[in-house]
Amino acid sequence: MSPILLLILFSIFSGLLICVVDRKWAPHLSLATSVISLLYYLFLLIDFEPSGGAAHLFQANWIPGINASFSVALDAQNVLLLLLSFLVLPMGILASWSDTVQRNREYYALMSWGSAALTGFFASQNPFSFYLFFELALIPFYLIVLLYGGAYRRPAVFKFFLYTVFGSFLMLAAIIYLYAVVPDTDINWATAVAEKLGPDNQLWIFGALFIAFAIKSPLFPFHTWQADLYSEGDRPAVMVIAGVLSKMGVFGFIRFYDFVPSALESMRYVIIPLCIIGILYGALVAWRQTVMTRILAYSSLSHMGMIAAALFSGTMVGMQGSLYQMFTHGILAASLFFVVDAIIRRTENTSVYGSAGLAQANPRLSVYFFIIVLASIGLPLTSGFIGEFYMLWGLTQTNIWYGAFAGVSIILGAIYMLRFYQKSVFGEMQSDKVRNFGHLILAEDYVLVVVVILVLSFGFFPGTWMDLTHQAFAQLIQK
Amino acid sequence: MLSMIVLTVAGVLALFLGFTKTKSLILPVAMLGVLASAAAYYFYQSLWGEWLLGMMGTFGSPSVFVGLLLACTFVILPFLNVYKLRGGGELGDFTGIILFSVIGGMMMVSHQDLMILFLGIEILSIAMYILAGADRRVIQSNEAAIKYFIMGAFASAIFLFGVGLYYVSTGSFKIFDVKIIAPELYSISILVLFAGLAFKLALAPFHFWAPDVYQGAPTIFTAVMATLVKIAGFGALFQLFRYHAGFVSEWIYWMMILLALLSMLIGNIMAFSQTSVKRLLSYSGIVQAGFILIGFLHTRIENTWMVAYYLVAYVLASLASFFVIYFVENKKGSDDIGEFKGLYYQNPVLAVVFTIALVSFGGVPLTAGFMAKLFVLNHAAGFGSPALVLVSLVLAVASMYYYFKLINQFYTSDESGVKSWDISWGYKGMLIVLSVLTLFLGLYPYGIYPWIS
Amino acid sequence: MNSEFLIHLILWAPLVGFAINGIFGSSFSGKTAGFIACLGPLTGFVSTVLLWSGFDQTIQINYYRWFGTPDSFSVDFSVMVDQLTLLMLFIVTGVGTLIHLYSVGYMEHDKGFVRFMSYLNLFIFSMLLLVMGSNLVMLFAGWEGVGLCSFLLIGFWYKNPDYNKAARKAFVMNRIGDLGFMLGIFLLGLEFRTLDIPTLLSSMEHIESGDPKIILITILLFIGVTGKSAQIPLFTWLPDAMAGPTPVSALIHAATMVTAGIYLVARMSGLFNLAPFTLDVIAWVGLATAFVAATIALRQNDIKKVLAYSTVSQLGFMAVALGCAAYSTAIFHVMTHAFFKALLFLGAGSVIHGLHGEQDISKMGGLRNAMKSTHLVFLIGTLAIAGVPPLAGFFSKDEILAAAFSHSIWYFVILALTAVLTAWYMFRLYFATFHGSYRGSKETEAGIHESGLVMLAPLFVLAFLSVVGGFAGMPETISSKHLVSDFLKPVVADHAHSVSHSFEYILWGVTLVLLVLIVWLTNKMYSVNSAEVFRSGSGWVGRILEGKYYLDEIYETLISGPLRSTGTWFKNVMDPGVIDQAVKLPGLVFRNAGVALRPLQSGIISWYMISIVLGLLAMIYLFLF
Repeated sequence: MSPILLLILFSIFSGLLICVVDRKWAPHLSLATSVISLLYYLFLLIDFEPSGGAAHLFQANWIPGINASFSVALDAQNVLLLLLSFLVLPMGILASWSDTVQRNREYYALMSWGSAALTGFFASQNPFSFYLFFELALIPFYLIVLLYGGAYRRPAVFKFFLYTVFGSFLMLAAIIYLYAVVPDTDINWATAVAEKLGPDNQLWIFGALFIAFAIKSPLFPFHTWQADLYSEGDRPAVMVIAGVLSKMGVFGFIRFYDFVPSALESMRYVIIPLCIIGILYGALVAWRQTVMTRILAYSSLSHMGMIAAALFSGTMVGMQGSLYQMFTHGILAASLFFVVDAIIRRTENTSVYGSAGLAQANPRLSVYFFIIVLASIGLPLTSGFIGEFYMLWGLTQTNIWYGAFAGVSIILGAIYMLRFYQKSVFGEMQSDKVRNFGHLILAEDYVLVVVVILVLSFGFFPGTWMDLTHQAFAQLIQK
Repeated sequence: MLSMIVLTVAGVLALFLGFTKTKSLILPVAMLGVLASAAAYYFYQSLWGEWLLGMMGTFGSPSVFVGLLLACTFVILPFLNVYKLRGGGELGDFTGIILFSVIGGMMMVSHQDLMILFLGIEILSIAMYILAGADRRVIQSNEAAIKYFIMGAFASAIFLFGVGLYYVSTGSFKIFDVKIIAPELYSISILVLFAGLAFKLALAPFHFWAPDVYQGAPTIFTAVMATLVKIAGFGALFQLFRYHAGFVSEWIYWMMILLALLSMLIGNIMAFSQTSVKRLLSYSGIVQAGFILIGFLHTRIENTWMVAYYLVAYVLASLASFFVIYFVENKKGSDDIGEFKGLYYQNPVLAVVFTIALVSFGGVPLTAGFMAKLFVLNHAAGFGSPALVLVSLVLAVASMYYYFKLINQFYTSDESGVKSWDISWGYKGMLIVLSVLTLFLGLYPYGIYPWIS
Repeated sequence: MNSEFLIHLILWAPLVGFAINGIFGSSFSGKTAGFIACLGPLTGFVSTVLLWSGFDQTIQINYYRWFGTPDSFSVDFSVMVDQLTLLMLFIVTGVGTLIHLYSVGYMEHDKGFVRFMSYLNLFIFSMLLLVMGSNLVMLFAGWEGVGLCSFLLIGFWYKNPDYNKAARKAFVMNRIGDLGFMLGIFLLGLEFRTLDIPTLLSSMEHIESGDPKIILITILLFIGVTGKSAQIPLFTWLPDAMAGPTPVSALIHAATMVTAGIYLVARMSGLFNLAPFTLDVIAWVGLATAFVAATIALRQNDIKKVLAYSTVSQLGFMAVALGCAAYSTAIFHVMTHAFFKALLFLGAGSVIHGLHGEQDISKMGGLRNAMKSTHLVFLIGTLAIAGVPPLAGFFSKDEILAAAFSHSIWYFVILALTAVLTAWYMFRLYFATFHGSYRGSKETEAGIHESGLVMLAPLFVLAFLSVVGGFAGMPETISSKHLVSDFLKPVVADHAHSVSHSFEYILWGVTLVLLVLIVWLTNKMYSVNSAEVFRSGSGWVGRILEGKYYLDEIYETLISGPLRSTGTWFKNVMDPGVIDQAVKLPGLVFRNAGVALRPLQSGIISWYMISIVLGLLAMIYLFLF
């Protein structure tokens, strides 16, 4: 049995198990299972050979009627993102640790089902499985936010859901048509469908996919669901959404890159500027926000714009950078939400001004926070730098003006992130909530230490991972 | 043939038992009858492959649709039990009527001659008129019955007109080995016949009766109408077109696409702002019908399974949702959307069942509804431009809106503090079975493939 | 001892110090922490000396492949030491050690003492990374690292919002430059397929001068320099950076970090020589910076602000030297400037320390009696920067003037004028602080005290260096050996022409005369008993100078203001008002359409029938026509 399939089934069954165990064990069980999955995955990575193509392939002929098979595997493109999803899930569960009382078994069951869907999504080896999990990953998190979110969650989550479903139905249309145009072949990512499609079909298939993925990422101007969801959603779930789900869109572009080359060629010079507008737009809005979660939302809008732009630059360097940055940004976004959650839970104030003076109240947290901030503004020797460097390099290679304008984000990024940090951490202590802020609980300490280690190790020793990303795109670029 | 006789006998028995004191026997007898007729159909169709001088046939699609009809009836019958609980004396009558209507349906789906088709339609319809008015004391119910009756009569007239044209243009009522005399007239006749059936199937713009009737009729019988009639109608349409695919010109399919898209559009738009759940579902039924119609493009015997699969998915979801609505209505006295607030906290089983049904309507993966849409749209994509696929899916998003608006209601904790309530395990079991089937077919669509092809 | 080991020692010792203090510092006593902190740079300095003693040729240490892929480019985590690096190492570790020592005294009473020392160590590490990095990305890493440390140290007293603002301003303005730097790196990498500095410079031969690509690249790099080395238009952050504790101003914003830009250009001199246009740009920017900053310094009353502007002005001098392709001269001035400017800042720090935080020179005066040794060293510093022979400043500045003259008379004129202004504002500062009578309030006068030995010792060392430092680069009129430029010759490609001896003599003569004149005038004007002369002037010139040419205001109104309001507009109008409305539109349409179509569902049977007929007729019509 393929280990990847095993991981998926494991999450599903652990979810079922969580549904039936005693209420007070549910969190522990879900944490245990998520950590086990992580460790098992790491164990898989030991003898993973990126150049060897898809490893641990599981393929089952599912719907002969349209030659759609169910197939998952581990390959050079998804290995980092699978790692990301396995890393972020325990973080999310630990974030919910402090008040497990409000959350009952369904919560943790949904969490692990969500992770199952995400695993399947990244591991999927053909468009159909891809679509299937793309849709399925939505449901658990939709329900979590619906059941456990903040006061005004309903409109937010409903907008998010419908908007994403709209995108995914467009994608379904594209995929159905794909299977209809290329009949009697069990399509997978390596299949050469581009010739069979022809320019026109490519163009509109790409159009449908682009909207779908742009909504999911989100990219400007399809982002309006994001800020509301991030600020109203249940924050542990939002960690996963901001960290992992937001990567699904761009990952989709990577997967379908080979299917619509001519469309990409012709659309590149429209899309990259759009992404760059998004970068600057997100940065400027983030600068003027005063609600922490909203700042994070718009900053990740800006980052995702950069990631997408670099991907569409079509240069090896740029694509490597965007893949690497997907991982890094996933970790950073999740951990930023983790920190913000830790702050908001104690101060009960979502404004950046609410926690002024944190540096005195809890220096430890402030230091963790600062390191994460530095990484997210791409300071050298942190994980953030490598990706940003590669992406800007790639964009500059395509056209220096792309590089210049996208590069403005490193200035604006510094502005809004440092503003965010200084306003929320420095200054005189205002409220009593901050004065008796208290220590970090053990879970928080663990998570943040791990994050810091990740940030530094991926900043100092990106070599092997970069080789991996190189493998991921080697065949794409050759074509 | 034999199967029909068996059903008739069962129906008559049910009527008799209705007079006697042993009402509890009615449903078992009826269900046995259904099983027996299924058995008879299965074992003896080889004997009389062609019935009534070839006016009816069992070859190919009919067998599938007959199977669907009987299965659907078999699922519906137990729920009639609620009338016994009410102490209503009519249980026997309703059971009998339903069985008779099934006979009509069987005639429709296996017709090879327009006369038989017409007879079938009439038998089915009349039964439905009665069921629509089953709640004598409720004024809406009576209104529904009258409305349905008048409209139905009108539609039958149109259908007969089509039959006449057909006879003129081909010199026969038979639908196989046709010899076309007047091509123009022939096409028009097919068109008129199609329109006649489109009325039964509540396809826009022939759908106006549906919402009123569905809402007015007792919910259990709404479920009957929403399922049996659709199966029979589509079965008949399929039978008609599979024989004529060779003759009719391409444009009739464009006409179908037009009707399909129109049904999706109108259905969605009207459902968008409904507060009565029954009414909402009736509109969504129109949308679903539109989707099924796409499966009729280039009708070929090989496509039977596609249409049948969609019908199965649709029937499973409709039965589940209408029965849930019945129970909620029965509990709270109204099917207003507000009554479903916090259903999950009052009666989790019903909530989950209904959720699965709605999700299946919406076409979310791992439900039968998704696979059904997938097959149909894949067929459409093969038929021609991607536009059809794209448009129909964009319209499907709109349907997602009102389905999930409803679902959100279930999981909104209700402040009014209604105590959690429950229904007997028998019904619960049935509903769960329906949901499980929906999920199973979504996970493994080929589970029923051998049965429906 | 083998040199590789020494290099490891130099590079990592400060980081280790930072790590120890950063992680366990909270449990240390001030003494221990201070000791550990000082150990870092001290080790560095000692090993630098050892390294220098046994130095013969460039050493490159390759730790591991950092990132990069064979087919595009590859970046190693590697450091190298050549003559230029060695000189910078002396400055960084040497001055660094002294300032660490000084800080132990200066900051001992501060709550964040340990934090402060660990930041200093981190800074030293980043600076070492910058000067030792053997490829541009390593250099960039150090470059950003020092920026980060300056951010941390400017905003060290984080409770004060203004300090935080200043810190952010410094970081952001540096980032603006860094963007240019980064783009330059990219273009270099794309052009030469490598970022390793020696390889790059060796591959310069077969490129003819004035190649547009090279010009673009060098301009981009220079944008980075303007950010880091506080040249026009990006210099306004440096004066604000004085918000940090004084040792920081001495170490980062005078001696080391701000000279990183100069170092970069000297390091890439081979590249810049190919772009004469860029060199002219650099020269003119340097001239403008030097002059503007000097004029502003004339009318500042904050002792640290005056020094800050003089730093900017001196950096302008260095830039001019670079522009004249006299790279070693620039580096020479970097060295001397490091000595006397650190001295002046630390002296000022000692004054501030003695006056319990008073920084306004209009409230000082007559301190020469109260703080004898501080007065002495400050005087030496003043003489040195003013260019009084034979102190350090004299030689380096004279060399720059000579280079400027040899290049173009205009350079020389402007620069000479600036030099005069420099002398003027420095002596103004000196007299105002130490002469005349004390102008502050009586109760503060009682508290005036001389600083402790731990603070004075570094001052004396620096004073000594400021006196003798110049002899490292004596013009050939005096000695045929120019230690610095000879030392740097192998790695720095100078293009400067020497000037006639007669010119040199004339220059010195004029300088001396002017200096005497200036001392006499400033003494008359500023060694006074009333704060009258320090009141803001009435003339528009004076107001412009006090307003620092209103550059901050101009930037605010032209750049940051509009950007901010754009962001606000996006946030309040564009996002919810336009984009989100567009998203909601379909739902709106559907709902309204439903309402609009509801009348059709009237329940009137006749209409239903008509609809059927109409539908049928429509279909037939479509068929027939």
